[in-house]
Amino acid sequence: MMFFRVLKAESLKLKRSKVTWVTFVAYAAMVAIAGLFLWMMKNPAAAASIGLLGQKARLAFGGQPLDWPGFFVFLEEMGGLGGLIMCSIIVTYVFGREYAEGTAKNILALPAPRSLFVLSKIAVSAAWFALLTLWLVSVALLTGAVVGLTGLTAAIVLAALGKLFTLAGMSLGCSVLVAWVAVQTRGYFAPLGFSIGTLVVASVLGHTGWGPWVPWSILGLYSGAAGSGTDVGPGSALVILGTFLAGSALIAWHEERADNVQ
Amino acid sequence: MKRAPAAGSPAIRTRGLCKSFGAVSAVVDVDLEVRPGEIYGFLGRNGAGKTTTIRMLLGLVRPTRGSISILGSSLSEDRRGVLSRTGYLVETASAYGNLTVRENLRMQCSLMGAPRSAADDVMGLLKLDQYAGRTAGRLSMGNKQRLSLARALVHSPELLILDEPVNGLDPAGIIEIRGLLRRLVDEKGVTVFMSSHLLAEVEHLADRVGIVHDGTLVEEVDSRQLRDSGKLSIEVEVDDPSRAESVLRSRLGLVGLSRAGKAVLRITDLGARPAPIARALVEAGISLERLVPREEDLEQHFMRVTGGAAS
Repeated sequence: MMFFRVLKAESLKLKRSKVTWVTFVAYAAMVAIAGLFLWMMKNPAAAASIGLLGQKARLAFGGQPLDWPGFFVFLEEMGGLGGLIMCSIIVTYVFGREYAEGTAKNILALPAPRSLFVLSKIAVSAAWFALLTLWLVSVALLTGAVVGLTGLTAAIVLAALGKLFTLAGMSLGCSVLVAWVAVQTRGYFAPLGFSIGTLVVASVLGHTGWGPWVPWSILGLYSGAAGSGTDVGPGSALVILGTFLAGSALIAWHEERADNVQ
Repeated sequence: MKRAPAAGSPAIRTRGLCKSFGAVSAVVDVDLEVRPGEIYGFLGRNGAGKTTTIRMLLGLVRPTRGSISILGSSLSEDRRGVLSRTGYLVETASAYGNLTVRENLRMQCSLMGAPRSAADDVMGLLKLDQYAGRTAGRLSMGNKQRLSLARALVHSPELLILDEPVNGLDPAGIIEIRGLLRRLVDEKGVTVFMSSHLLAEVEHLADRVGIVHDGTLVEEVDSRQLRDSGKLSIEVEVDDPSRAESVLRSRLGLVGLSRAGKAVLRITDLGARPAPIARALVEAGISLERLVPREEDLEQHFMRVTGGAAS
């Protein structure tokens, strides 16, 4: 099966890439920082004795209770827009590297439907991000235990997993457009610029009535990073799905039809 | 085992092939015909349209107009079938820098449906064995080029489309690749279509040469014919080159006359012969200081047909 051969090739490329491992380190660092905040709030005197300000940590923590659910809510807020940035970096790398490294022409002249390459790249990006999400939860469990949080139950873990994986899926849905910018512009810079632009759009429109209908704002609203009180319903889910389908179709169309003059 | 496309059909055939990028015409009405089992050199200056033509042959760029048939099949109708029988190297050597040479080649084997052992075979063929475990990003430019050539060969293609195949290779490497391509043609019946701006390389290797200039195929030359025809250019040094030019035009009907120095006239007319020229000039009272017949090589031929100054 050609698809599995292509998938295997894409997986090998990622396995050998340093970027893949850097993203895991970045996610671990993000959780570690959250853990540090937690420790500072639980131990304000000890934190102050080594020059750390518990007040600042409380500000960052956003008033969440100092328990497992509070810790996960904080991670979900961080993982909302932070996850969108990470997912944008992932798809930019997966799609843009072929142009940046001059290998796109080798792929596009292979005797296989080009949509297979698009599909397999989206699949490995999704797998990569899913593993990152699992990694985030694993490191969070370890960090929470080290900090001394108690009362962990399976229900808390499952609820956190459900929300973080939903956020991951939404991030991927939005990031496919970033991948399209990467293949359209044949490199890294424009898609990263585009993803920064989407964050600006997300933060501006997230506070307006249009938030639930703008893909990048929906993420902020659902994660809680843009504040609570706005409903994210089935209509928003359809917007994300539509963004994903439109982005995938645009990439497939580009790879199939556009001239490759790299 | 020798292989060839369907009997009678050329390995590559294009008709009226055109490509425009906006207002710029990169390739204009190119009619190519590459015979099975030959090495066809596609020669042109930078920006002449060589790479765009190669990209069209591989389906990477869509022609504005015209048709492409490869190994007896239409590229637009059977792109996958055609590409599964074709090996290619486009412009610059490229590989995944964080994969080893062996991993790059095994990946290509998998994608082309070739056995894994083919990776080891082509590494041996291109003397890459010693670099098998080295990441491609740490290879020299010449070895990257070898890797790209190896990638093109893993599935034992019937047709090789190579854009500047000896780029980055040292002189010994160039001779080695030349030998390899010749062996592939002679022993396995592979057809090679290669572009180059290295005239000596094409002259040594190609059976036929197509010269492309400003997007147009201006001439197809049989290399052997070019060597054997003894096509001459004649240089005459005279006291009055303007009058000499006029005499040669009017008395002998020669065309292809150009100045090659203050008192030197170069005659590249196919019908030019030394004796009648000398006679006509002397009879006209022109002082003939020197007459030198020169055999035209590919370099001079190329410069002449592309409108450059001959060396």
